[in-house]
Amino acid sequence: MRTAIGIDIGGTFTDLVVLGADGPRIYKFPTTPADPAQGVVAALGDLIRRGEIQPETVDRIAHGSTVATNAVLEGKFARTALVTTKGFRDVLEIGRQNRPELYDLFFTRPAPLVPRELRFEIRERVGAEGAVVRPLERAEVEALVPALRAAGVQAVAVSFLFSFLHPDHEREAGEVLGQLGVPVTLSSDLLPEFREYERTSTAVLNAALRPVVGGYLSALERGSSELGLPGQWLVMQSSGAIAHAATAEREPVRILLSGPAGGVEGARQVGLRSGFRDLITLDMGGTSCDVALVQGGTAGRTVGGSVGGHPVALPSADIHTIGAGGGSLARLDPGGALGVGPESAGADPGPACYGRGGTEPTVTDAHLVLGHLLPDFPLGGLPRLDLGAAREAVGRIAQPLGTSVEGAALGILEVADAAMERAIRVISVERGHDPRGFVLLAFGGAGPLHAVSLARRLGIPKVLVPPTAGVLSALGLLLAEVGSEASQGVVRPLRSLPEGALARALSEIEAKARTGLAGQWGAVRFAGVAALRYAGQAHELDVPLPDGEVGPGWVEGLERAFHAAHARRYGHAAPEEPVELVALRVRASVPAPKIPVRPAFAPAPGHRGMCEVWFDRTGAVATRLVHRADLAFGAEVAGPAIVLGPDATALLPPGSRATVDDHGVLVVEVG
Amino acid sequence: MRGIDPITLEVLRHALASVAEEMNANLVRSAYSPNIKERRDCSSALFTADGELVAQAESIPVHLGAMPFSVRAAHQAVTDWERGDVVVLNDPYLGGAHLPDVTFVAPVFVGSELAAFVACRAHHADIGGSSPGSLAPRATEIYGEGLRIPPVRLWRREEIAGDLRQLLLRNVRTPDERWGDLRAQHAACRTGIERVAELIHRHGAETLAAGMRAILNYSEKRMRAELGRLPRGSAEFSDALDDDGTGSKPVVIRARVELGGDRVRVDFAGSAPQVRGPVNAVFAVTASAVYYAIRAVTDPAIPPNAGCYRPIEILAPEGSVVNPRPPAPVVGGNLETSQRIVDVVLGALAQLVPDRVPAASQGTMNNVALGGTDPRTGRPYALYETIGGGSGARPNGHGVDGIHTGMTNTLNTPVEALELAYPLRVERYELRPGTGGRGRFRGGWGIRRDLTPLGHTAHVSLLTDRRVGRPYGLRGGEPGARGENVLVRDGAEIPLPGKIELDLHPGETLSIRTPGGGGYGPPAGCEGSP
Repeated sequence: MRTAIGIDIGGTFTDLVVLGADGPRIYKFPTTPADPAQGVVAALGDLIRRGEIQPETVDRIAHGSTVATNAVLEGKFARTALVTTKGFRDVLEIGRQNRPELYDLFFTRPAPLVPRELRFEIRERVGAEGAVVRPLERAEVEALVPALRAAGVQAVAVSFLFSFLHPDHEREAGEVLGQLGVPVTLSSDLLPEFREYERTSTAVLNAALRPVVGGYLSALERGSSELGLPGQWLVMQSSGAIAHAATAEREPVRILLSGPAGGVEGARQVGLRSGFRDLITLDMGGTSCDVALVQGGTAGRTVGGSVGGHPVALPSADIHTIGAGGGSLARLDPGGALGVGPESAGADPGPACYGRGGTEPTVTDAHLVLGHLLPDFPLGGLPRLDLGAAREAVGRIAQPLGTSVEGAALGILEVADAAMERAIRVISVERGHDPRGFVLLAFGGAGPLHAVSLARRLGIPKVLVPPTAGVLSALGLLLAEVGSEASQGVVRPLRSLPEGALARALSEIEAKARTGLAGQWGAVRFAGVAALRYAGQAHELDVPLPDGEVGPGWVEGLERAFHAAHARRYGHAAPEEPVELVALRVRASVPAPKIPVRPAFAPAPGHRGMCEVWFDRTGAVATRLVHRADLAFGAEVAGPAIVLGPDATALLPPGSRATVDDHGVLVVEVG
Repeated sequence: MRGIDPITLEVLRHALASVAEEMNANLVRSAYSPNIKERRDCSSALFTADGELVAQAESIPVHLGAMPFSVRAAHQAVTDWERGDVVVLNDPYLGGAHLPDVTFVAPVFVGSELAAFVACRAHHADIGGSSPGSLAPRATEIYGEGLRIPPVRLWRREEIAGDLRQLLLRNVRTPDERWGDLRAQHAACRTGIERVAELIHRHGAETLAAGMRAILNYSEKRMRAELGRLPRGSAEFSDALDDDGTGSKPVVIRARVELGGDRVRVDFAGSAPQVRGPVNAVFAVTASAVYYAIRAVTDPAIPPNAGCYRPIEILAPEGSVVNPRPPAPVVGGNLETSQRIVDVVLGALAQLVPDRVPAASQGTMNNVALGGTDPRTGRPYALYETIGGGSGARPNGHGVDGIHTGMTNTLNTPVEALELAYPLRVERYELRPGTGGRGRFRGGWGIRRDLTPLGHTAHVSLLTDRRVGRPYGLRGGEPGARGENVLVRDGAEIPLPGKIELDLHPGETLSIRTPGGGGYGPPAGCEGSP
């Protein structure tokens, strides 16, 4: 039997899942922020020495990486130049002309990735019809080369107006600039779609990240080879599909949301296996909480994402982050309300109960005070938690609140739930959904502690807690399909396009997407969407392409699907209005091998029987302590109960009832 | 009545804010027109049964303070509210901002008791009047600006008032789109009503009522605490609009700001009398601008509601440009005058709390409307945009280049989107280096945007300001460069006034060059000079 390894690097811990015939085994290592690649290689070496991994059986290593995201957040970019159409070099800086904060007179914009003196203009122009208005003069580009060389640039991006309709000018410029011997990113190559600012920003970010990400991935692959492991890694992309490391090196903007996308993909796969197709996924960790929607088995996607204030217009999982996590601080504000988050105790010092010097109360401290967490059960890599410190911290606010320590702790959780409820409602409504039609899939260290109470607030009847709730992102890496995406901007009335031209465009995009798969993965599937809108609208909707050959029925089917999607999302449709095709997007993919994911829980000693736990203000109630390892398929647990797992604790309040399904998922009726 | 503890207070604060946010999300989602859907020129809010603002969701500041006046007007006009009633109004003289902004007000009942109101306001792309888009730059009376709607019930006990609907739709240019947007507003109100009913079910009517009062007191307490941290004192400042669009002299706006411990008074005595052209700012707009300025120098995280505004007193002489009498035209008051009111109030505050106030930002929205017949299709088209400029330098850093400031924050139209949709070419879209006022910290740079019609003649309306006056600098910083509107014909640059209508022929280019922000502190080399 072959083995696959999933590696997800988080801020504090690196999660490692080894998936063989006997199901997943889970390992946690501290992250080494200074040199994450070295830390990962050291952890793999350690597992090989301990006999946990037989290198010769491993055929797949999949990685969720924060390297690109961290480079953006820390501003570690290559010195990058930008070449644009004459008159438009400031588009990168003006952006969409809006400010991030309405009422902050001291707002700043992130500095443009390319300063004005490294933004160069070329006299060329293509019009909206895709025709050349002013030809590019090669000599003008050649004249730039010495200037760029003198400026010591390490990467170049080229973005001309309407290059998505007529890429020749960018290609010719790229050819000339190739003399520099540094990576050149063409906007028409990476993202041939309209809206010049978003396309330029994506291309520039890509260029600026290439040297950093390339170095990191080569170090990993080199270290891996030296250990006798595969030298070709896979990396999770923001889209939820996994790609060859070579793709990530060439197009690092595609892996900016690598980690969170792995979580959503893991949640989606676990939900599907258990028979649930409409999910709200809730990944609650130490500082924040990531929420995403899965509808009809498909995770929500967006092309409107941004990282560190820089837009990235490539498809990514549609994830909404809320500033509520286990480390969120509870504070009485000057108006006399109890606020929770978004300030966080982070990993260091962490919650007061970590005993690392934190003195302010956090959500995790509240759980400990109420008995939801056990002082002598390992959490967050710590062998035990300091209940005294947690009580002291929560006690600080209990007195001004005029309540007991437990009352204050309950208040902290109530407020945290209210904030999460508010965020989840707005995200659902904005996307045209009623949360009551979904099940809540909770993961991350803190997700399963809040899931049932949150579901009750939202009117959601069912909660799912996967068996590997604490490392679902790493598991998602192994369940995700290998996929590669390509697109082409069109922006023409759908009915004006000859069917032959549409078919040709589609097969070109498919061919481009397929090249990203490198051919070695067996049967390739294509799934496409058309970005459509009514003429005059500024936002488009992605509609799946109909099956079969492009023909009159195909176009009509696509139109019908768009009207229906529009009605679903916006409450109305206009079948008499002309429909505009904005872009075609195709994903070529090879599914991941079907592997059982029910983990073999190691039998755990101790912590059984009853304990006293607070769920509401009426006082502590006798509550069952259960180990995941003791729960067989079909086992039932009635609340009040606490289900202890190796990587996350689930809370079942009175009135709720959980069943373990065939996949080891805890299916909770919230009551 | 039991008191509200800090935990319940915070839980209810989230719940009530969520009502307004969900209403607004639903409004944006189900609206028809780009103005609401893409530019998000709309807001939604929840009010107490007495008409006090409890929670509001907005994405541009000009909606900030305006709705309470409309809700009050609706409350006064209707004495026999019933379940399922919805009042619409847009009268700027009853709390509207300008005619395109239409407000909905609907009651929430518990049994037969009035428990709350929900309301939403949206900018409609056309509300009739002499000019498409209802932004008539040369109107001299409100009657020329469009249809003026007093508080009337467009829904009565869930039933549409058909006669009234016909009357409204007969008076606008795009009735189908209008009805779509009006229905979206109705849907938003229904969302609000349902959510409030759920909250009453969850917490009880009495707790909810007490909670709403507690939240108003909470915001008031925090606002008073913030104001209390500012030094006592008063200061005066004046600045002017270039003109009213009908050939007037500069239109002066003067404000005296008095910080009095835990409260603030803003008095506009000495401001110009109302003017003939459409730059009169109705009181609700003036209030929005003042609220914006005060929020910006205090803690913007204080939940915006009636409590937050209790410590703020605004005196605006009746019949002045900041509180006109009907039938003065008002459409530009919301767009241009609101920006100058912010400049003036911040200018006064700069003398009292110098570390919290930057130099003046561009002080205009640079409204550009362009229309004509698309030669490719033979169909009429209309483009409306606003253009960013320089922001003022701060006590601790340079201003920001090419950005929207003050009372607006709407997105630009991407060059490629514009050229794909309209028979126009953008020749340049770039910063104007050196237009920020010099200083220890320089002002932000303005923007230059050049447009040429392709194969047809386009009709242009410009409603812009700071083409004569300049955004002020502070503490010895120099003013920002003024904006320029230029017609380029046969290579020659012909200067245009700030507010004008003209025809733009093929081969001609309209070049809008927006103002830079003011500088802060004396420029290098001037240190130590008086």
